[in-house]
Amino acid sequence: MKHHLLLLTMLLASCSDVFDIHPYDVNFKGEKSINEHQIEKIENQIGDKDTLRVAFISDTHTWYTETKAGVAALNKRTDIDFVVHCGDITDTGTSKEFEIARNILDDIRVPYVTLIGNHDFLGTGDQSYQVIYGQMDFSFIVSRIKFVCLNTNATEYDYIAAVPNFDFMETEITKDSALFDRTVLVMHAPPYSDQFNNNVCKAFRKYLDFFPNLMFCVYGHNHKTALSYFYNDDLPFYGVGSAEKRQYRIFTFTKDGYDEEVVDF
Amino acid sequence: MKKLLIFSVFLLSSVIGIADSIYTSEPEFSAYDKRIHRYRKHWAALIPTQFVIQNAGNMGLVSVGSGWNYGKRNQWETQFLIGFVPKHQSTRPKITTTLKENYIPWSYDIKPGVSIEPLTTSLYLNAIYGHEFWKKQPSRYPEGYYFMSTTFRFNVAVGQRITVQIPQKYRRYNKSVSFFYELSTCDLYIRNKVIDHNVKLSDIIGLSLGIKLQTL
Repeated sequence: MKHHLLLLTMLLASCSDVFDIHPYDVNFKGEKSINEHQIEKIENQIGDKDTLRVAFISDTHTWYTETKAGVAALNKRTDIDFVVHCGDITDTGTSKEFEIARNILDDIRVPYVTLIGNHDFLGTGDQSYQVIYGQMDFSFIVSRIKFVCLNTNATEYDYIAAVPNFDFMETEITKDSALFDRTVLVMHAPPYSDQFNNNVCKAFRKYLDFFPNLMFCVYGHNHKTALSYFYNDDLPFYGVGSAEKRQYRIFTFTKDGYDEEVVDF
Repeated sequence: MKKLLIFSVFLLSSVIGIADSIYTSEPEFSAYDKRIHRYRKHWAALIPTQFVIQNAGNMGLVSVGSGWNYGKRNQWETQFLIGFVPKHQSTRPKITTTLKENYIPWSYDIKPGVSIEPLTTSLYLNAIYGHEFWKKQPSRYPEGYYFMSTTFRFNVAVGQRITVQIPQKYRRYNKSVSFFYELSTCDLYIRNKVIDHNVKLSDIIGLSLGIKLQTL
């Protein structure tokens, strides 16, 4: 009798989404490894362009209405080649939040990649991120520009993990060097923030000098649209506002350099 | 009340004792006897009166547990459940425990041996175990960095039941069986809805089906 009941319960649970197993169950149907698929699109469909236009959004958390408005605003434009989300796609890392965020971001018409933010680590969030999006450190090359996306959420590991991953950075400095001339670095938490491993802030900066023609860095986390020079040198760090602020950033790359713009939506 | 009863028995026996000396040695309850009686009664109250099995409800794929009912109409229930969360795409399967309090305000007999409970309300605290979760925010974070615990989840649920009395001749271990469903959500999901009103209720409310076997 009890075995039958158990079997019945399990059968019911497996056949529908109406049953909530647990907020941290990491049980996803639908699209997975999204970054990998999207990078394939970015690298193969966009190709070499004289003018490349990239939009950056960040910290969408659970401001779904604002995020949808942002996606709609991006979709209205026809001049954007791809979108980068700088992390914190959830607020508490639950599987449900990952699903809702995936549904909204999936409406972005152009290819998009998503970094991991510190909030996306909560509970089993980091595992969910890896299932849905993939590796936490990744890179891609488009129009001879390499975009290096780094996991900088060291506090989430109590500073015992290789975050930021210098080995990864070292590899990216030379990997496919014939295919790119310039570099852009993207991260969630910027140096000297409560998530960065601040013991290596200066070492991190030294490593950045080895990236071929590093133009600038982009970060999220602080929920503020900002331009910062964390190292008091000529390397700009562009902060991308949270969804709540209803702002995104646009970078337009030409052969000579780049232009940046903040857009309200 | 009980003291009065014992006293009247004592009084009665002494009255009878006067009338007929044969009954004067009627046994009295000694202090020891009374103490043992109370002792057994109190420990007996700890014997679970019910067995529960239910799925989902943010407690796991399936949860099993025991419970106690109390109150004038047995309208209160306290249950302790152990749940199982399968591995799915995570690194390992997980165990949860739940302390669940149910309040069932009404019960109506719809025909002999069958009753319905048109409303059940529940409040429960679930804990999930493993190194991924913390009961309170670890010291590596600035104070108040995250507002929540990742181990503990508060849940609320409403549901309905149908209870069938098991006829005497078929009774083995249980006297009645209840079939129930619950609609539940947890603190984090309610928070999602509060932050963004456009979050659909269907996105944050889940269904749970279960069976309760009433032993005592």
